[in-house]
Amino acid sequence: MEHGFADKYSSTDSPVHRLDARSKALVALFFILMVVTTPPQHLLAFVVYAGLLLWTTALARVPVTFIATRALMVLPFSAFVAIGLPFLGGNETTSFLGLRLSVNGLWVLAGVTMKSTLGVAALTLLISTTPFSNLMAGLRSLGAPAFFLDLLALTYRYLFLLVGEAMRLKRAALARGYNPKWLPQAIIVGRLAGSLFVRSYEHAERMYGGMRLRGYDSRMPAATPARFRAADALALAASMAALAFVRVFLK
Amino acid sequence: MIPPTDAIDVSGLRFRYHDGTEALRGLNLRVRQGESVCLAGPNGAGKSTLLLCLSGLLKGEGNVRVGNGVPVDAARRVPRPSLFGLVFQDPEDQLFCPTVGEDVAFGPRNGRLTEEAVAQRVRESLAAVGLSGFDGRSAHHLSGGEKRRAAIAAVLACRPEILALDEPWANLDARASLAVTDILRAFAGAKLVVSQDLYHAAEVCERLVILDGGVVAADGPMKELLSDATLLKEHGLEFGARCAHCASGRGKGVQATFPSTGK
Amino acid sequence: MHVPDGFVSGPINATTAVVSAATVGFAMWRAQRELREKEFRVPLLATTAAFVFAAQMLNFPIGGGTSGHFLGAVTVAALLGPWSACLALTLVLTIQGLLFGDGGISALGTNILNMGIIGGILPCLLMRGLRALLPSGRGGYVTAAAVASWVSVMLASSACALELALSGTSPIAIAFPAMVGTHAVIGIGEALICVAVLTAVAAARPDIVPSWARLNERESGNRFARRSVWALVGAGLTVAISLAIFGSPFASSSPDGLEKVAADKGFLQSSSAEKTVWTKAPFPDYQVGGIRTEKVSTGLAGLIGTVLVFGLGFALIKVVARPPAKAGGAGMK
Repeated sequence: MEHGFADKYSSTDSPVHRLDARSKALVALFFILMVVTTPPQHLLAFVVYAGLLLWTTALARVPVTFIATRALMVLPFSAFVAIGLPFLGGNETTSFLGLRLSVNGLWVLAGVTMKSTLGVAALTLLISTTPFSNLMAGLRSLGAPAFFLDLLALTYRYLFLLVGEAMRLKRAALARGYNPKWLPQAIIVGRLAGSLFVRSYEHAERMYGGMRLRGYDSRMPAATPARFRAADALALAASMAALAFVRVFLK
Repeated sequence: MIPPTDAIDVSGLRFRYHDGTEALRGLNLRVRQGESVCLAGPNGAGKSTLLLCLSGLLKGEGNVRVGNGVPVDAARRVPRPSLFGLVFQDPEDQLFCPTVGEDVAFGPRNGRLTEEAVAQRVRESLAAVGLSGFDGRSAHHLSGGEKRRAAIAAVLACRPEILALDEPWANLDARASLAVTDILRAFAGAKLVVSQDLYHAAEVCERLVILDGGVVAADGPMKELLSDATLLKEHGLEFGARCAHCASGRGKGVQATFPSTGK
Repeated sequence: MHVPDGFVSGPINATTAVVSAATVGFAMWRAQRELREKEFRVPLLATTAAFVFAAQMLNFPIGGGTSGHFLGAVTVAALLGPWSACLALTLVLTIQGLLFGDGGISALGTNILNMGIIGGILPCLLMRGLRALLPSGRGGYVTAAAVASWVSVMLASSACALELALSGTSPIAIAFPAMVGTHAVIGIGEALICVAVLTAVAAARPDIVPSWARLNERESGNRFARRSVWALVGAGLTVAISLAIFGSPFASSSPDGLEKVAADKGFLQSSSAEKTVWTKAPFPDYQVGGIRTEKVSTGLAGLIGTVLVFGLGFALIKVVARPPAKAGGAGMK
């Protein structure tokens, strides 16, 4: 399928891959929590966050470029909503290349840029080191609602299928001279989406048939989760302690 | 002693779709235990509809019995997975779990087996289709042939007595087709294989049932019916006729003419 | 419109997360309670979420060489009902956040609130109101869905701009025109797509659209009473929304009703409180083009407030005006 596999490194092997999904999910969440609550002025803290992330990436043997490309994809959003901040006055100003810039605005811009890229990088690393099904099983044993996780697992499976079908439909339209330039042509996208919905519905019908024939009764069966080993607990505790230390003491 | 019952016993089965299309018009079919039957016929003959009626996913009028005389009729009832297994034409609809291992384990887990027994079933079923070691793979990372085999493994893991398959050789290359043929030949229970591909079906099935217009048009030993070229042609099938067709220049099918594309 | 990590401040993050969790929890409870179709709902919600994800990848041109994409909340709501739409959008946003870095995990609550709840459930109330006002039948249904689609995109982007402004990460003078202005055009695309999807689905599989199948039944029986309630809700909501969207950003500088509502409800306090707790919010200092930014954000806060109040009112009406379970419901479905 055309959509680059988001989790293409998840089934490789490394010490990080072998850690329990629960540990990794909790550490990733804690990391993001620490990062978003760090004031942007604590530059050293951000440098250490990035360093820790890079170190884990190296341990996991996931290419840094893969993580970085995904993390940088978030930048257009920052550009769209926050780029104006430094130009909009404020009490304290500084000048750069002859432009009068607001110090406060610059900090906010720097803050959201660092936080959003670190956030995406952390999640990409989590997904690249944990197979999706392990992550689901981990979240299940951490007490996330089973109904929602069942839905999430099925959605994940059918995502790739429907994106493939959407791309085929689009290619078929392009091959027959569809060249969108004007807004009203959105209606053609609508027709593609309409037939995509019918297909998705029919997939659901057949999938449901297949599930019933294999004994499904309203609940997806779950495997018993793997044992939480001492190493997993140790990794969890050490990572959280390190992150809390960076958050509190590094400025 | 109770006489052995038929694996499948269908009589007077009728089915009509929402849009009014009558797919089955009083169909009768009996399949003995352990028998291997190929269902063939032109597009729209009602082959897939018949499989869905057997599985209980569609409810037609008439009598449908699968296995030890268990009627498939009560609303929303399907035969138990250990009796009747259906492999869909599109494996994407059968593989709905994040990994192949979980998919194969789905049926056994629903059957409330212990985790060890489930693991055992998964290993055996994957080995039976030649996919040992594929447990952790995601379905969307598999090739078409692997997907088909994984779907068959997921159904085999329920240990069905009767196996029904919808176009198991569709869209497969020669090697993947051979793999499917081998899997089907190894299955000991009754088999009902819907296929247009008589070349492959002839290696698996000893009996051929031709459906046309929602009823059984012909029923007999595979070899006998395959030698009747007129009968096959009449029902949109072919076996060993390709070269003759080429030699005669043009068949008596649709003669396509394209409008000139002058500007 | 997918807010990444670090863009919304703690209080906004926490508030939106709580509201979203409660609403999604309720939606899940409803989805599980619908016994008749409960089991089929599980695969259906999953493929619908996958559909929304895939459809969001089909960009459409909005002029000037840029393109927008489909949101899908109202379309799904028109096909499967508002709660299913909210759940499907929640699934899409969770997958996008987890796997594709599209919207942050800490901002998941905010994104679900904007796109699944404010952009999904609320426009459905409007759609129901409009359906009571418009002629019955498919024309009225499709028109109501189209208007609701446009409003959905506008509401979602306004909510997003408002949250960013209150978090101090985007000056309201930029966020509001940029977000809502662009989305006014994208909303037209959304409405066109919604109409095209509904007609395509109705042509291919009329049986799968429950509200479609019930169109005729619903018109019979108890019609007048239902109509007048819906008409009231719909008309009120439409007027309030259009006033809030188009009126407040350009309102005069004198204190208006919306600002007062917002002040009473504490929207303004939260913005000043977080300035000390979180990143130093710069926006009280801004004064651009004569529009005081507090006023604009207040107007937006008022918009959200209005919509919430209408939502609550609607819920009340629905509970109070519910017909007796079976006895009097002969004409009802």
